Amino acid sequence: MATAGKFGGAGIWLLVSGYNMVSNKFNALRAKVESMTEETTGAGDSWREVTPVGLTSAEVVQEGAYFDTQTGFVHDMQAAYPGALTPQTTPRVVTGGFEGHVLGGSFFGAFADYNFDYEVLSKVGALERANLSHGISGQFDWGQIVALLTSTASADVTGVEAANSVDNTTVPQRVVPITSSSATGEIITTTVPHGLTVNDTVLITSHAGSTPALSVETVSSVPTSTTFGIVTNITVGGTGGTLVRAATANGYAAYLQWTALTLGGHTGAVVTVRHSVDNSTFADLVSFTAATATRGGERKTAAATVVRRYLAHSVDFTGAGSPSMNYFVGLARL
Amino acid sequence: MKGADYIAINRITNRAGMVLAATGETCERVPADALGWLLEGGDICKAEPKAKAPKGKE
Repeated sequence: MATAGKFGGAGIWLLVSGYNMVSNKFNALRAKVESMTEETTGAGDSWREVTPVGLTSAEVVQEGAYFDTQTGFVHDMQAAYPGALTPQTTPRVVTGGFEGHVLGGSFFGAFADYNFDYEVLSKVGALERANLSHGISGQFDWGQIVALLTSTASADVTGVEAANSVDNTTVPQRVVPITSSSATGEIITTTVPHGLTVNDTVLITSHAGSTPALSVETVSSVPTSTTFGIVTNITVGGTGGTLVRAATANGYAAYLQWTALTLGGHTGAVVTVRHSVDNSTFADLVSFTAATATRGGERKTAAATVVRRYLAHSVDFTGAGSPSMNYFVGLARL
Repeated sequence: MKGADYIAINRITNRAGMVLAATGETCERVPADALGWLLEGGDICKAEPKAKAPKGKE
């Protein structure tokens, strides 16, 4: 199934509960996260002043788009859900991306899209276009693609497809420079705030002079924003190098979208995200609700949960038959 | 550590998705070097020792 605009940016895609919402041609797709503020300018101020109110909002908008009536696209969704333009009682899961479908590439996800605005733009002497805006409620996540939307399961997913793991140390993320490591208290000092929490795991590279050499280390304490302790006993301190996060301990938001499902005698399809320390042995992290509908989406979250360095997925069909499923899996580390 | 001494709390698979230990099964097929971090992460637990039969009934 095509996932990007036919003539638009090849890397852009947008799914809502298993429907492909990207038009064949469009001017722009915008995913915007905003910290809401209130103007607090007062008499006597010489500069305009705003103050954060502590809320964050998100919106996803497709501008100036040509939509058609292909199966599984936006007009098909409107036909399938009478009143789709009105607020929905059942939230719809939104996922999309700007970098195409690359394993480990970034995607955005949100729960939930309760309504969308479909604004027809028509004028004399011009083709008819539309703006499509999604009303996002709740958290907006950025994560990594664990299974490409081009994934097709015609049996339980094992072998090569399942073995396509994502290493968190190689996905785009902030690289933090290290100042030094200390033999007193096993403390690492960074030049900028590291953003780590206890039980995170970091991959340290190019750190010189320490004994033992530092590599994959577990964070045991976070005294300040630019220092953290590790479990490894440092006998001689070192300098320099960088770190990236390998495993994270703040939980996750996992996303599943499936654009086609034929059970062929089976009773359901269970998609699972698996995680690993060594990229060899995996444990199940989260399983989505067994999929039975032709198309759909689901978001599952957990707080204060360790997500290990490597991620992979599996699909297990329950029962017997000849199934087929097109799906996407992504996971955001919180 | 021996896999037979541990029970899977979460399903354990190899990279290719083949099941090494389903939930509730013992972990004989799980590589020994993975048992430590699986135990630490709560994916497996120590199996209850089998109760010895009372003397005279063996």
